[in-house]
Amino acid sequence: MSEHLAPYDSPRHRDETAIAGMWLFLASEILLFGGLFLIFVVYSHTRAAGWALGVRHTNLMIGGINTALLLTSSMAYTLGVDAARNENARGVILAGLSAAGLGVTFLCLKGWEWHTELADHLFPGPGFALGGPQAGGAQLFYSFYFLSTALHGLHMLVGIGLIGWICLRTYRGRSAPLIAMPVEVVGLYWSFVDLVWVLLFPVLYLIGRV
Amino acid sequence: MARVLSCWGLLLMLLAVELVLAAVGANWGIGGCAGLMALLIACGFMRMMRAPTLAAIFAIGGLFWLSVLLALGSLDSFTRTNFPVGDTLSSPAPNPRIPPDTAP
Repeated sequence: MSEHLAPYDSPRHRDETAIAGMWLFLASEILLFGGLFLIFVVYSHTRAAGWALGVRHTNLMIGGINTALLLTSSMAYTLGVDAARNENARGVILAGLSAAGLGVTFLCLKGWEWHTELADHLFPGPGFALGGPQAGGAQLFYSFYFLSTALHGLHMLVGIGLIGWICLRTYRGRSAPLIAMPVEVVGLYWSFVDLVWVLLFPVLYLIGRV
Repeated sequence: MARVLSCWGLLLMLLAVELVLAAVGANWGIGGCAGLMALLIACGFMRMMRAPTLAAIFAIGGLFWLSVLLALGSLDSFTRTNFPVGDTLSSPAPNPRIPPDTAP
């Protein structure tokens, strides 16, 4: 058994290493998104009026619905992690498909939002729709908006791909005992993507709106 | 399951509170709600409290370096007093140390 587990001492050691490895990766992700939040901290302070002008032009309805979708998706996948611990393959697949489906809906809505914003000439650069003395701050806001939502969307795509892989893996190996650790590690990533959005949502849609 | 569902219910409730606070312009309250939601996700969905010690060290390390990044990164623009940061980004502001050009 020890040869099969090498280089780990026990299954518990192996599982804890997998969880710690994912947390180390997430710590690096905290710093990646931290740079974005630094942009928010600095420019929402130094260009407050222009930044708030940008916030007022975002679509709160889509942002709010997307937040609820992502919270529900994260909840669904966490139920899938519980199912994996109980060796319930069907539960894992159902939860995974629900979570991935909600994630795809999130991305579709975000795509629609981007489409309307590009049609309204809210992409920073020549021809930017908002004029006046606060236009510079609003352009900074929209630079932040497009960069942060694109980076988050990229993480969503990776997460949906990982959940798809988990579902496929579980479906193919449904006759064998279910290994819960990959399900749990992907769950950590998916919940982190949700956590980042929970912090981005007020920054992009709420703070400075009124 | 009940723990996950109650955590989800709390998160949706906090989202609703955020929207109400946004309508009245309570920005600090919105920030507090977002922080609470992040904490709920970390503890309820990511099971932070049950994570192995090494994972907790990595998570705390990430937060520590994030606080260093935010503090040092924003130090200049929050403490600068010789000229405002924002006004110089898109339109050149007159530098008080350089006398205005009065040449004909």
